[in-house]
Amino acid sequence: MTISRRDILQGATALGAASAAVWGFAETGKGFYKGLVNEAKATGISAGALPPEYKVDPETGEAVLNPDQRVSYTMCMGCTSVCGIRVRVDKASNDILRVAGNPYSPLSTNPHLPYDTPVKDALTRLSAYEEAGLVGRSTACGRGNAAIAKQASKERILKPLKRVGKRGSGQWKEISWDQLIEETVEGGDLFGEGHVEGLRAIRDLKTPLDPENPEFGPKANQLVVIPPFKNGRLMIAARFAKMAYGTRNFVGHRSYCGLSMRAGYAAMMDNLKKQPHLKPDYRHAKYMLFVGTAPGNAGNPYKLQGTLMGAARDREGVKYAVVDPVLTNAQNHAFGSSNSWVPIRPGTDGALVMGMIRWILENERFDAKFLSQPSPAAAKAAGEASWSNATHLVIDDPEHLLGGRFLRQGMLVEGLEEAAQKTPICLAKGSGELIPAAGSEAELFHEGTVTLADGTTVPVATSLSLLRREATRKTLAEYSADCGVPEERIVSLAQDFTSVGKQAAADCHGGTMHTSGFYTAYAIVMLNTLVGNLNVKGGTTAGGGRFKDVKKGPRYNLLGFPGKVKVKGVDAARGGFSYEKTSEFKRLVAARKNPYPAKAPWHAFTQPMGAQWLLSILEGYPYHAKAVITWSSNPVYGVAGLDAAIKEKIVDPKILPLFISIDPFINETSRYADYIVPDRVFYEAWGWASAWGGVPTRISTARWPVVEPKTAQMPDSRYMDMDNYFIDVAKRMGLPGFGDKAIPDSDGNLHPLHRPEDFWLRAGANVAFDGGAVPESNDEDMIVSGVETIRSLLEKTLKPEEWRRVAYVYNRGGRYEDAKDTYRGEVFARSYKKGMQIWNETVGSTRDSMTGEKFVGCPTWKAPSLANGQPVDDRYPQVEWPFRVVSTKSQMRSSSTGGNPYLDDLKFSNAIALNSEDAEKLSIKTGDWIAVESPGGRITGQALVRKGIATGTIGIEHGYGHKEMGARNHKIGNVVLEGLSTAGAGINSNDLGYADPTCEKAVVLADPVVGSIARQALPAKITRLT
Amino acid sequence: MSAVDLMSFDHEIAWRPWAVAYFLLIGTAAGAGLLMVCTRLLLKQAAQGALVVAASFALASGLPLLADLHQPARFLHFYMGTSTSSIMWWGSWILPLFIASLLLLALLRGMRMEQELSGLEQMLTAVSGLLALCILGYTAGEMHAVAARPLWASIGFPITLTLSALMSGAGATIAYDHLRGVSGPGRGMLVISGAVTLIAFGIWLLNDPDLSRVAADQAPVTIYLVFIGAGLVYPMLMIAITKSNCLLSVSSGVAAVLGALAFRWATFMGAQLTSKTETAMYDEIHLDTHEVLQVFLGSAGMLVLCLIVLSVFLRVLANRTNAQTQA
Amino acid sequence: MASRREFLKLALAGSGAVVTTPVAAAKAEEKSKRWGMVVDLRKCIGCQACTVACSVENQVPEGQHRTAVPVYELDGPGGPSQAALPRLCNHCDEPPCIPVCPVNATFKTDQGNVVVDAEQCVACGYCVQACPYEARFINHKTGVADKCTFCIHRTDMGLLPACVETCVGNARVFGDLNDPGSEVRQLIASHETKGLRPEFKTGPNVYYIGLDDKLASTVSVGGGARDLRQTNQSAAHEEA
Repeated sequence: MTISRRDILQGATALGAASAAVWGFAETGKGFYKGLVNEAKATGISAGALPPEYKVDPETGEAVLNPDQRVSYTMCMGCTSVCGIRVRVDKASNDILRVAGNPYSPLSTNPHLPYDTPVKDALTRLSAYEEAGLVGRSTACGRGNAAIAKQASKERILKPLKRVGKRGSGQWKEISWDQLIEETVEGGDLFGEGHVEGLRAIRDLKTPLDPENPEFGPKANQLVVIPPFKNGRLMIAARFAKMAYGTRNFVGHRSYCGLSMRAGYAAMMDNLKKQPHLKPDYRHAKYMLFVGTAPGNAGNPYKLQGTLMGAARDREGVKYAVVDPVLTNAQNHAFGSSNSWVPIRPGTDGALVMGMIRWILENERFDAKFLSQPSPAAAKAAGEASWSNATHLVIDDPEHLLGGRFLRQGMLVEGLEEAAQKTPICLAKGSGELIPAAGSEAELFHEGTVTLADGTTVPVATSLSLLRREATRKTLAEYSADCGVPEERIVSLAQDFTSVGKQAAADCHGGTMHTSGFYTAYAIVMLNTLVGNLNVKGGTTAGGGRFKDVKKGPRYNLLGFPGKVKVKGVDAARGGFSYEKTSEFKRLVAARKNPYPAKAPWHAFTQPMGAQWLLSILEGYPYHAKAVITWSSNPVYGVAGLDAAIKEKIVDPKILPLFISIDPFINETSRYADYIVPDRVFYEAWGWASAWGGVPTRISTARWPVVEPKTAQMPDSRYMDMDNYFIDVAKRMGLPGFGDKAIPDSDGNLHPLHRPEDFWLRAGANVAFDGGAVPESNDEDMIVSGVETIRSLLEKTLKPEEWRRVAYVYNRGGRYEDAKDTYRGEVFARSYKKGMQIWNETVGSTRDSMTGEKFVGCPTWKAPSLANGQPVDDRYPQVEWPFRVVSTKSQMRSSSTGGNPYLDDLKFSNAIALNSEDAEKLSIKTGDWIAVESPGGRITGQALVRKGIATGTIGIEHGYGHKEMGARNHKIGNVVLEGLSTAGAGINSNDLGYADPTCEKAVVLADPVVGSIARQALPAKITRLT
Repeated sequence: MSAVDLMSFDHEIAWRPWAVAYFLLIGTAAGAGLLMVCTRLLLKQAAQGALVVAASFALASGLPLLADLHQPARFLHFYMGTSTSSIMWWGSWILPLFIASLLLLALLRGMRMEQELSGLEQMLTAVSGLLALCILGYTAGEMHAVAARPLWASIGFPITLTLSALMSGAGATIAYDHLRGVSGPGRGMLVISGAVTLIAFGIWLLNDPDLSRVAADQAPVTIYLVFIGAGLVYPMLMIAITKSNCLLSVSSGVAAVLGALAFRWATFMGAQLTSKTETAMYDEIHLDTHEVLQVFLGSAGMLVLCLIVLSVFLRVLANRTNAQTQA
Repeated sequence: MASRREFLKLALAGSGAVVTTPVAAAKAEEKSKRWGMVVDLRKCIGCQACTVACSVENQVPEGQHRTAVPVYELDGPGGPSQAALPRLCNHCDEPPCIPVCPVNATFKTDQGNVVVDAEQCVACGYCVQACPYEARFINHKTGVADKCTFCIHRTDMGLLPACVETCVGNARVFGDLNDPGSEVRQLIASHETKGLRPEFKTGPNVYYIGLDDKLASTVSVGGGARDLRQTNQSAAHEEA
């Protein structure tokens, strides 16, 4: 047989074709093979679904547990709402399978189960049996559902780390727990960079840290502890830092989250110290106005507000409006014309609301009967659920020594008893006589003069007159021009708000975090005063409060112990201390120099403001710190403008010698730490929390380890965590309140504090006994709720008469007052007693430490301005900076959700939202990469062009743009802790925050009255990247 | 009403490029098969090329079809029950029968070269023709039945799909015959089916907003241009104008096949990229990806292999038959 | 406390989830029930609790969803407005996905759940094409057609579907359409409800309260999240 050329060609082609076919069908072949060897990954019709955690008998409704799983109730911390959740755990693997809501918790259920419902029945109430689980459903939100990934995350730090490279370099080594305690307490040449003072050396309670300025307090104040928000674990850290160690500097994160709102409410509610706040009664309100808050999209408690807004939209006659530069899910298309979105220029809500107040006052649409009652007694007689100081006379001369203060009986008549001296004065209704505020109605409006007991005459005005004066400083047209909302819309909002009696409520939140935030918030909440809705069904509520836990309770006192230190001095960022009381001020006055402006703002009546702390201790004004401990807090990510302001100094050990971070993850702040202490994530930790607002009944939510912690164990079997770090440091230093005799019970006997449970279980005993003891749990309930797993700890730690009652509380994930006790008739059963302050005396008699001028004591409209009073728009004119940036809250993200696979799957990046008209002018379309520049920074991201954002506004969803939390690699010893591919996508609007250019010492831009950080209304310009 | 998606979700297309390869191969096979049947039964001429093309394309089509199943090993499930409501189930029976009929015919032809049309062959040819029609009917019907994809469910789609299959079958036959130096049938069929396809597609494009939109945004417009220009107009013109130029004929035949491919790619992928709810987001499959390369190289390799093996087999068989006859 | 064996016995007694022959199990069910869902769009806050809970409960792979809640910014005469639209399998009375299945792997249970037998499915994708709601997909992990089952493994145990359990706005209501006293029937009786894509006459068993007609069928969507994803990817390509 001969082989022709054609045959060769054909053979070669066939070979080539065969190779191509084999290559092309390789995957098919693999698939075929796998199918043949039966690698089927799913069976049946439910494929890979989880086996159910229990079954309900269709006849009897009895719940039968799946013995492989357990369902336990604890607390979520996917955001800051601290909802009650039910956690489903696989017993064999210790994995969390899924979470949903705790049916006993009013934060997760509407209405929540009666507290005495047996735990097994609760499971039936959640099921399809008799459709009980529809009405009684108890939910976790998307973020709460996704948060389980946190526990199993590969990015977790499980053993103590010590930096080996420079600060922030991402080079670490693992050290033992003992080495961690020893080095941080005793100090030494820890990094080969010279001697570092340890915590022991810094704790000096006698020597002033600055002899020139003794008011700064002792040297111990140079330990600064920055914990997170009130997450239910705070008090063991507070016990260490304030009560045992004795530093003044222990604080939460309020000033970068919602301080404007809190301070505005606090001024209106006459409690600047505790800063309570109100929430609308979503269940019965007929009209609601939301300004700078978006219930169902953000806010706190986020989930409950979402549930209640859903229910409200199903009620007859409910209407509401959302004033916000950005359209969010708070507005609902299906609800039609009964809800509306009012776009507004960022930072100008105050103008809109003062316009509303002007219209309400001019058209007498306020509740005159309510406002005329000058005292609780008068209010009670008139059938009002609250009272106000609308009629109280104020000394109406800012330069008078008593200017801004109320006219009190003691100023008119001498020789009165102390209580009588303090009684404010008003004008009797009709006669106009000066009378003490008591049981009868008084005149609402008056401006005149009064002769005091010392013979001097002073101008006076009622609170309401002063509010009217402030409101009428501008015309409606001027207000409209300032905020960009049409005059008719301002009027219609005011009309709507005042058309349903007391069943109207106004609320605000983080949208007010700009430099006119305080007065904006005060104005918004003032609307509630004008209709007198406090404590009224359908009006507003201050919440039901909590059961006593760590406070001196019926069983133990966890905050009082022998040797407890009382802290002294000015806090690290000049909060809660008036500039006029400082040595610096006095020196300037003595030297006949103008003491104003201060080198940086002092805030006389706000609580310590952690947001400015890192910056001020690095600046050394008022003073430098020697050591910082951050715990689960991340100011570098969360405080607008902070990163840029500190990143050069924080890496310098000479400026900040010791920096310890306690955190389950490496975040943008702890990246700079010298030591990282591992910590439990919330499913694994102990604690007691309550609700922020919106829950009108008493609530205490329990947190307990429903799964075994993943952090390393010590030889004595304790897990490495925050609690044990503070316990061990305190014990090594011999601090009071820790160790053998640390916790007094109600009989005065002392109990030990060696382990977290020693503290938290005793707090549980207080909860279980406060206001009447709960019943004892039987054995079966503990098995059903998984509390069985901590039974031995309960027995070991608590007294025989206590432990089963505490188990009863843990069985239910906390203690909750029944929903049926919410109202008493037409008012809230748990009512707020203090009066609504139309004029706040403390505010009205305090001077601005920068301008030296007195603050106005009632709501007023002042455009956002810098510390020296110069309007932001003046310094950063619109021509050059045509946009204002707002940070918008995400439903899915919070600052701590970076790198969560479930959430990344939904939306892995945010974008730079801008209005379609603006975009058209700049020829930008969705997806284009653009740069946003502010006076403090520049970020680049993708544009999202929409109509649902006010013109001139840039909206950036919070929770993205991480530089840590899995966004970059770290090296631990020789092992690389690899970052996640999706983490770090998007942008963080806080990178656009900026330092106030008008202050001598660096501060990030903040509200002049209370110091809330300006993360809203930042001036910006856009450039298109090609 | 227009809307901006603030939250939306990606999907993947369910019929991957393997389906495009399958529908091209099986359509071409059916087209060539019909050409063979017509030539053989009506014109009583030899149609060796058309038969080899039909059998090879049909044989090669099986693999990409299997590959488009995500569970290829389970193909037997098709034959373990009846699902008469599913056109795909009918197809699962038609396809092997069609392949078998063509292979049998080829075997028969190979063994009885140069001989008159026998009764058996005549019957088998008729059966093949019938099965080719079934193939065209089932493939068009299977997709036309998907109401959720308006583009496929339109009248124009099955017509164009079928016509382009005929054209592709004719083109493939012309190319194959010219490559082996034979002048075979198919020129008329190519010109006529090409012209009718052009008209049908034009009318469809002008009348169906779905198609025009898909043509405009979803699939690259160039693919349609390839279909119309290279795939329809060029081969028609070339075949009509030139007589028997080998190179031009081969290129025209190949162009007709590529045109049919372009049409299938554009309509299969384009329709799948269009969200049925207008909200889901589909990840586009780009032509330059590894997967697409695998599909096309693998399928083409398989096809060429089938063509060579079958040709050689027939040649060897014919040689042996001739030797026997001579002996 | 029930022992493991007792639990499994109970589980097996009424479950199609555990039994490997689903048809038989489904038939063993009470015949009177017909599952359906009402989604009250006024109550949906678009929080994606259902989306995540479903993925966790049913172990749906990353990037795929049995239910999800697209959120749209609609443009109307009254200005822009925000609409969330939870989507899931409609468990149709006339499901277009079932007749196309060449291997009878997908079927409707006696209680109306449209389900897929994972062992029978050849994953040809025909049902995925046929569903007008885009409720089906080929699961990356299992390699077969996947979809919402109304959490049949839970409802068989007397529990509620995962998405319903965790719906923050209480927008999802699930129950027996054959029971006139059920919540779903009450809602349908007292509210105007609509189904998605009525033009396909599929007889969906998911009913929406407050559904804008413009959203029921198709609405031209674009310029949002999808464009961002696409351009983000292309930018990543450029960088690489």
